[in-house]
Amino acid sequence: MEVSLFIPCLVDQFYPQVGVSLVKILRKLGIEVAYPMEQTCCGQPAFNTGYHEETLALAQRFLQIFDSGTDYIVCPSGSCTSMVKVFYPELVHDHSLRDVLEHVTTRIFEFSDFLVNVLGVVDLGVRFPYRVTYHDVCHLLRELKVKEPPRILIRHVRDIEFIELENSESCCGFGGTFSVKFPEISTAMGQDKVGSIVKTGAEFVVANDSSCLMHIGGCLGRMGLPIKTIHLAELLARDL
Amino acid sequence: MDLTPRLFKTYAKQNLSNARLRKAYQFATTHALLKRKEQVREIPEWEELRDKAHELKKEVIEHLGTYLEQLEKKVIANGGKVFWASDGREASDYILGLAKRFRVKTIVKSKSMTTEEMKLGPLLERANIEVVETDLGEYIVQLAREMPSHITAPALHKTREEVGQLFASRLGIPYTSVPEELCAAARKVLRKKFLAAEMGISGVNFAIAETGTIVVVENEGNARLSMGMPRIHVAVMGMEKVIPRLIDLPVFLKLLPISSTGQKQTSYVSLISSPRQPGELDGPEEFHLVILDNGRTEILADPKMRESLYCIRCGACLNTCPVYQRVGGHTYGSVYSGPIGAVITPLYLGLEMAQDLPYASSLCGACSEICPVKINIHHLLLWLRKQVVDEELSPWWEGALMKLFLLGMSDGFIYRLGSRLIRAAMTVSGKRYGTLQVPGWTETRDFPPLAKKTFKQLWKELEKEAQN
Amino acid sequence: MTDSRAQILRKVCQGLTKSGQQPRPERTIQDADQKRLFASARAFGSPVNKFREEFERVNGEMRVCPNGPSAVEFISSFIERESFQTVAVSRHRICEHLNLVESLSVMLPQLRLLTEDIDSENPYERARLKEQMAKVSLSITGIEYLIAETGTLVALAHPAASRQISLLPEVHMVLATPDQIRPNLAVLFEEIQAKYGASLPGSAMTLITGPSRTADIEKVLIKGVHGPTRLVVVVMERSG
Repeated sequence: MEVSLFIPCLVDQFYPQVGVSLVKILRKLGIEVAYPMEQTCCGQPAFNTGYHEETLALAQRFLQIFDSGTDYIVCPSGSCTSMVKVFYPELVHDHSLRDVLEHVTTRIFEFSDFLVNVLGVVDLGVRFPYRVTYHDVCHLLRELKVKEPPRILIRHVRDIEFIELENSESCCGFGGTFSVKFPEISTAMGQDKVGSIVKTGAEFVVANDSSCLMHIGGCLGRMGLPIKTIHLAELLARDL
Repeated sequence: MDLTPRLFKTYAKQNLSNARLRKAYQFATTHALLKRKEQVREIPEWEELRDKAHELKKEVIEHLGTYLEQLEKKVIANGGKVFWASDGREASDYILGLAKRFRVKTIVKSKSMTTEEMKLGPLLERANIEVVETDLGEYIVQLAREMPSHITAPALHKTREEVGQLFASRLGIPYTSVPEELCAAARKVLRKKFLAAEMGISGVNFAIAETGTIVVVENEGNARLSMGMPRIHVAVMGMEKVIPRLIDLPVFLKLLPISSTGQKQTSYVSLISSPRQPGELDGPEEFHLVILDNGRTEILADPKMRESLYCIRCGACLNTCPVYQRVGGHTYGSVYSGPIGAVITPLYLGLEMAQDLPYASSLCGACSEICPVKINIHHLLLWLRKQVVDEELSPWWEGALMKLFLLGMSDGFIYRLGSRLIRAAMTVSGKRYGTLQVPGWTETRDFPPLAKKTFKQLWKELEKEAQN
Repeated sequence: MTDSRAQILRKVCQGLTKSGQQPRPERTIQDADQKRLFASARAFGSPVNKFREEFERVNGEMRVCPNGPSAVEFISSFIERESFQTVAVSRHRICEHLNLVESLSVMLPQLRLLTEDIDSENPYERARLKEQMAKVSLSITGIEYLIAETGTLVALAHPAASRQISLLPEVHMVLATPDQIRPNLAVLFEEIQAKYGASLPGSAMTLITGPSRTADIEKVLIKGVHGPTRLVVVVMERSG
């Protein structure tokens, strides 16, 4: 099996270890990994701010780059996956791209969804002797309807103590440009999220999106709390 | 006090720093969501009911003319009168004309977002007619000269002490902060108004085309009194409120109360088909149905935004919205607040009046997830954002930044070059990828350092590993 | 005025030109839908017990009496216990059948009884009835139907009973028999539609579910805002 990696720009620039971890996990499962070097960004930041025409150029570019012979496209972000899977079909109306669009949107999966629902893998044999909690990424949960796979993967980790987060489904307040357009509201949401995390007594907060973790981590840091953020891929690749 | 959606950001800051208000909104919204959840759990068909309601609304909206004409015909056949109003002014002129003809001095009004939207109360008061809001929450808000802060709980923002002070000063009763006593005081005052009023105005939750019946859902009994006591009953409906048949009503009567207050059924649901019929012992002599456009036909003409007309005004999206929960209803500067308010306020008032509202959402999708008629609310917000950009209402620097961003992303080579340049610049300036200042972010939150090596750079090493 | 009507309908038509304007009633609720959508709303054992359970949940008070005379007995003692001064009785068949007005005037000679015996076409008599009804402590009426699923009473405006008699008095008492119970609204509305076609009976049909209530002040539940503070149902197992 061959998989194309879609590494979002935020991961590329700020959290490359998430991508590296994903490669390690896939390779451990005997999957051949390809990384199209020409990829940049799916266009979500522009799309969500209302610049649809401009986004279209990026979408077309993305579709061409990922219109390859690999079996699947796997991405470590629920949000960026949903941009391609859910929003590209609403954005791209070019008839000549219809087949490509289908070829890409039906092959793309968020990585926990891919592991559990496509590969049927739930246990990577990892040990992580810490207390963790999990934050549901809005787009993963509501656009892609992925709620259980990350939890299943976490529960199979050795020596882990998993505590469900109160209001795990409420948004962390990131929301892309929302976080800088309305910093007060965004921060208030982030601080409330941190409040719930603190209540669990967790040492790590896990999520499947670096953007949410960037926001939660940013709030944790400014509030001077020692709780660490970790992407599920990084957690699962700890021993690899 | 008149609020405006133009000042969303200002109000948001004010209201966020009001701890009392934050607590009130948090309590009220959590309470409503919890009660809703308990009810939904008992109904295995809930999702199917939502699908059916969506389908019914879609059917109606896409054949709106047909159903409205059917409704009109039936109301007239039942002995009522129908008036079509293009806007609030036209509707209030009609009602004023009626009021003059019947020498109306006092009007009792039950809760209606549509009449709030067209500011009917103030328009009628200007003609020296006393207009009394009779829903307890609306009455409080009217006495305080404020806007409702929630679609179904208008006085959500007021504490019992504030209501006590308000009643003491405006009604001349001794101060009390006991809710039961405040309620009893309002009942006493309003009972007199109900008995004296010559005209009653109500809203409409649903209008059944087949039977010419309007349906009004409430808990207090004030709508029943407003509709049944005075000589004239005027019902004002937004034109999207029509449903096809009587047997379609149970779907909505199951979804609406649970979504709004977590009640399996509200205390009262009135189905009014006509004025008093011969032999009946009470009821109004005349029944007038005002069908209001007020911008709705323009929304209808936009195939994407049309879906916003499915709204049944339950308020669930307000309760579940992380933004509404924190900034509250008044921040939106509009009678319609929360996610659905952020969609329809710009549509009614014009985007230039409310261009912040489509952006006042983290796009988390909780609104669409809870909506009983399955309006894809957060997707509608996205399309409105596109309109803000298309109409060139967004700030110039945002456009410039976007252009720069898109340029950087438009080509693999430019992207890689950019990554290297930024890293080089940061090393030279001695910032060591660390203390990047991001306006709007780093005032309240830490920003992560850029990685020393991008994934693209690391991939080369990973490729080598694979070859070994 | 006709101008606006034509203008609005024209705008509606223009706005919808793409999707056309043909009514498609087959797309609304079908019988099969009805059964499926309200399956759980009829899946209960005894309708009387289900009604009671739901009715009491919304703060209704229910009393089951074996027959008519015992119901009259109960009503009389209820009035005495609560020391109601003024009682209104409707001309519903069930009240007439029990001879309620006469029985009460014999059993409680001090009681002021109000009946709705007026010339309905005389506005002055109607106005006077309204004034009197507003001073009543207890009203006793019949009802058309009871809905088990939600503990709802269904009242009709009627030559035998006003709309206000169930609303203005402080306490409303309803006399009913088990055969009036329907499982849910969907079933009832089908029945009404079959019976009356496209014209509902009377000017107003009211669904009453518990006493009048509000939670507008700090979410505190208060009963008896504008309507009755208490709602009592007396179910007679046999009407004789």
